[in-house]
Amino acid sequence: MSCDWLTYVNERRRHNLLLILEELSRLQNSDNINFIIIGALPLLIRGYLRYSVLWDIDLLFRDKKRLGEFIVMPKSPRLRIINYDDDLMVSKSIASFHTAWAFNKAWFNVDYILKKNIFEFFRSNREFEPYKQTITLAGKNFHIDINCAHPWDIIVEKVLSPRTEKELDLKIDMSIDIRHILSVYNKEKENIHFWNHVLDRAAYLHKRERFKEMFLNILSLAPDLGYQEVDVSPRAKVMLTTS
Amino acid sequence: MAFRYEFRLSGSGGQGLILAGKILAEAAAIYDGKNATQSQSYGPEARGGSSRSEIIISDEEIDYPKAVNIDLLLVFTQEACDKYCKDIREGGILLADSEYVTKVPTGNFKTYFLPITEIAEKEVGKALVANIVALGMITELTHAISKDAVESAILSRVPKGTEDLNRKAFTVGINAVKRLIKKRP
Repeated sequence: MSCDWLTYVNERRRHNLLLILEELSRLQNSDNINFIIIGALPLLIRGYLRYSVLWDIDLLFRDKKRLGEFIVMPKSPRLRIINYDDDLMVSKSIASFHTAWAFNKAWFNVDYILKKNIFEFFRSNREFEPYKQTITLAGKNFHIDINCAHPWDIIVEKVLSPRTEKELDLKIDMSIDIRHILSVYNKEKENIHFWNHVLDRAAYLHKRERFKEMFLNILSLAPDLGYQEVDVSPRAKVMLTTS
Repeated sequence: MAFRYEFRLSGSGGQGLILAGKILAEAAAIYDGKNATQSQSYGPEARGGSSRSEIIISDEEIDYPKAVNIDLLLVFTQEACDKYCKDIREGGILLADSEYVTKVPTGNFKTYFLPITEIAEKEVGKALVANIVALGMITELTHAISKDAVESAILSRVPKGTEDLNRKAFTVGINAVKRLIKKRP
């Protein structure tokens, strides 16, 4: 096995995940990007999450038209796709369509997502670049070249998400988003480049102050949520309290 | 004959049922060495409205990942109970939070009505762990996944500082079912 993050994918599911990522690499439009992988997977791939769960694949589409085109796009004849939803589930700020994909009966949840203004947010990152890797598993090479959201942008979006705010208010200790935020924070808290990046990106969304407020809230409530090991580092304090 | 077990967990957003579904699937796939799928879907008022998670576990590869013959249905709202109890297979199990589900449906299945949220609040001290209490109940009612596997999957999902609380919630759920079964003739 030639890459570390696969260690955190259940052994019997690794082969299928790589086949799906290869297929997604083929299905993306490189000239005019139609979707970006968001959620936990980019954080796993970039080394921020180091635990085993059943990973989902979240595809954020540029718009409804691109999503429609993607659904009817010819795919590998070996790939089976089962739709869990009858139609796009639409709420105030997000629309989603849940599916399961499999090449070999180890099913992966692949969720198609539309989120107002967020695609452009991820795409506008100057450091945006595809995840390009040839991964060898059991003697076979898998060529992955796929657009994944920048992990730090994912954190900006999660910190500002209404769901995180709600989970924080309710002190939900099993919040997946808060776990992701704190995983990245623990790794980057002394990294000035990280702080400059996330504050700039929050400013792009016109939510710099809100981001600082929410991030400080998360850090100060972390011990109540069971994250006793999380502290407000001196650099975090400076970056989040000065204007 | 191959072992296949289908769960459906349904209620409203914020009750932690999607996460409970993930934990069940992870317990089976990662810690019990079985095959598992887990799906999630939300009602039109996503994340605030209804939510549903289906879990299938099997000794063999899963050819079709949608639940078609429910072995256990867990419901946290009357609406979910009314809508889905018809999908329970003959001899299957309906587990409901009696605080929210008051109309008991009739059917060819076993019913277990327990005040899950109240138990979480009174015996664990936190209503929010009702989903973990429910996982304890499901584990004890079905024996489809080992207790050790479910406990390991729970602990891998929670922060270190809440491990004891969640372990307690899981055990409280198991014990509540044990007490109930003991009382039944």
